[in-house]
Amino acid sequence: MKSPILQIRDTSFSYDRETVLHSVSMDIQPGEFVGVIGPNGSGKSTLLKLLGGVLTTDPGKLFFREKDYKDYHRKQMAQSITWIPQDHSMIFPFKVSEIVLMGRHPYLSAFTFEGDEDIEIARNAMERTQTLQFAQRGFNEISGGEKQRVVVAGAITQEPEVMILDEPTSALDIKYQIQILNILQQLNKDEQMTVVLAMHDLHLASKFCDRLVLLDQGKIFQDGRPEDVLKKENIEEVYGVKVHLIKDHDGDIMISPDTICTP
Amino acid sequence: MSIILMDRKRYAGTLGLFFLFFLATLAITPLIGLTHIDLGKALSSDIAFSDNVDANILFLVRIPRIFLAALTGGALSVAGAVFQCLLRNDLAAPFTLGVSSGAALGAVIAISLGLSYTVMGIPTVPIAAFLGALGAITLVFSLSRTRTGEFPTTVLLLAGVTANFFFAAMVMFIHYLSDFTQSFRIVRWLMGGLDITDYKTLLSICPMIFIGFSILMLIGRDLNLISTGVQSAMSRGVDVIKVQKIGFVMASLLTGTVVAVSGPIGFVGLIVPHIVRLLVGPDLRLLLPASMFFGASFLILCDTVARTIIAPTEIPVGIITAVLGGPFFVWLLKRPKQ
Repeated sequence: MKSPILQIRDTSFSYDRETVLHSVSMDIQPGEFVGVIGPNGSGKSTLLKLLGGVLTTDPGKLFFREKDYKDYHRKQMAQSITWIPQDHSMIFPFKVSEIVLMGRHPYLSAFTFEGDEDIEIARNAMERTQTLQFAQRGFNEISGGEKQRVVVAGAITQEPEVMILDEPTSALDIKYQIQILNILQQLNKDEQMTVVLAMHDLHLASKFCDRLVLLDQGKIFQDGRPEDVLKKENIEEVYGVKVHLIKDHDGDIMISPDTICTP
Repeated sequence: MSIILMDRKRYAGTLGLFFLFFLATLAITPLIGLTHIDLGKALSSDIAFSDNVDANILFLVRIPRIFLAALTGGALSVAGAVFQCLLRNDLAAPFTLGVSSGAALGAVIAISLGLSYTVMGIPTVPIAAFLGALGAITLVFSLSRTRTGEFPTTVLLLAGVTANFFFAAMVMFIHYLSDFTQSFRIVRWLMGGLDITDYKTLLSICPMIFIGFSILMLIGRDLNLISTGVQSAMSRGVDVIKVQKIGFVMASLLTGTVVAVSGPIGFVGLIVPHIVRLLVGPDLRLLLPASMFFGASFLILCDTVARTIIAPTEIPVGIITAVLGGPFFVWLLKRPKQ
């Protein structure tokens, strides 16, 4: 029995007066590929930010390798867990390679420049994500799909054990969605990287994830294998639409609107 | 293919060029002015210093003024670059955020209390100005930050305008209540001039500028990460709250210190970081020192224009920077965004 790499215990979270998570608990095992799904506003981003250490909560709620998040130094934490935002708007004209190299921050002390080893790590990360060819271009000049790959390259450069991504595919066309998911799957297979990501496309979620966590109004509605979570009745209740499910030839689940009796 | 962008050689080379430009400005501008200075005569040891008019003008009038311009321009530019980074908004600057007017209020309070520039070796007016600057940035920061930690341009500028009006009103109030001598001192200082200085004053502000600048350099990489987004910086191991505090305090220290001596000089901290960013990119480890040198040269050159444009009358340098800065600001606001 492996011990969990990430744990969240009975955690609620509110912004101002609005509660977005209600006593959520889950364990994530090393090497899992977990998809967090649910309607807009169901608390996916908040859950991922908590797991990523970007939002803080009371002690005794979040654990990495069975030790409280609060007992890690920030840089120590960043060497193990990285969180990737949904939005990559950048005000200042950083180059792609500068963005990727920022992933080395948790390994460097104050006012130092990245050394040869750091540059080598960044180069490898860019090769794996096919971003090396535009290393010298401005981050703001490249397309959305390219940006997402660059940000993932930065995360790889951080050499974490857990990668948490907030809707990495939502703004992309199908080609880039599959490209990103393939990169993540490769990391998961080759390096046992634990991946936790929020997704909207339920079909792709069922294809790539070993486990799905379905959120509904800040609560975990169901947590389990894709075929157990993506049930007609679950989806109809949580999303509030009539659907029917189709299995593709791999047995992955596709969801189609039930056009005859839409509510 | 090399992805190396900033190796030490390139860093030193780029910074070296900025330093050379600064040295050239320092060397040439003292000789420009209404009165022609014969350098040979000024440096000659045959004439007693008190009888040597050329040496007097050069060493007692022009050089201190040029050094003050350098310190003021450099400090305001570095502060501007840091504010832009921490607020992730390139319209931020000591002047537009109301930080300069906060510093002005602090300084005016100190002056109206009859405090002289230093009391027992402690530079009271600069410290009061620093506290004013810190108060202003705290106000603007808390007024304009959204729940997600962003600083939308409109809200930020409105907060800056509000702070500016508020501090200006307080300054006017104190000015109105003060007696004739104090009033004269206040007006004189508020105009933003570099002409009232001596070496003692210059020396007294150097340590504070040095401390502010050095500490900001130490957190350069953290500032880079914050400029790409607060939450992603956190996930890369940046202690965001600590770095924000250090950054705001040090940028306020730089602003307060020079505003206390030169008065509020506008737009330098807005224009210079932009130009330098276009030349060297947004990495603060290079942007900060390059802005220091370029800002120093920029204000020296502006002041040279101020001294000579309608000679023999010398106009306050703040007029020159505002004439350049106003249109620049409008351009920044209206330029097409991607």
